[in-house]
Amino acid sequence: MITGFAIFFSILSIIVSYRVVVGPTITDRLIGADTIGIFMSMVMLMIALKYDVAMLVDIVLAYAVLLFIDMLIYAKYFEHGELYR
Amino acid sequence: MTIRLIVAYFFMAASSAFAIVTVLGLLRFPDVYTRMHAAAVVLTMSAVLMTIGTAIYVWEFFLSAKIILVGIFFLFSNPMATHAIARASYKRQIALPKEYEIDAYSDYLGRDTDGRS
Repeated sequence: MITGFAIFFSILSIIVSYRVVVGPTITDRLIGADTIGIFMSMVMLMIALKYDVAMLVDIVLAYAVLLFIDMLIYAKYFEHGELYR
Repeated sequence: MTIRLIVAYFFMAASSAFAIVTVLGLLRFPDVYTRMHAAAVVLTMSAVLMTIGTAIYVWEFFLSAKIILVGIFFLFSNPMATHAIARASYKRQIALPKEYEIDAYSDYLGRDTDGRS
């Protein structure tokens, strides 16, 4: 059952990668990358349940923080054209 | 199969339904900002429901608290990141319409919509 949910979310993230590849603007690509990152963190959470690895939950937490920082840096760089002013 | 696993699987199935709605919105909405709205609202609900389901599934105190912490972080971080991307793409004038019904943000910025920042 857990494996089925993990495979389901993997298939959904593969479908979302269509929006990353052929998105009309750069904002579509950013939003698709964010969606794929959150789906992958959920798949990692289900792998931690399936194989009973408690350390993967810490990795999911660090991955979520890094995804958030990534999106903020992308948005700031995309807005100003440079990081430091 | 106890009642706890049934509740956990119910939360996971609800999360899968919200994920299907997210993917449909990302693929089928006509505009950039409506796609962004689908990715912000529904995906946050999906992630939070999945963390609640996994926390009920494992049912140990510290591990469940850590997974709930991941869910609370998703609840705050995903709308903030999407809002930052939307603000950046508005200021760079990505795929904006020609005429607006309501545009309060340019009044807030105090400039015309033609000029860049």
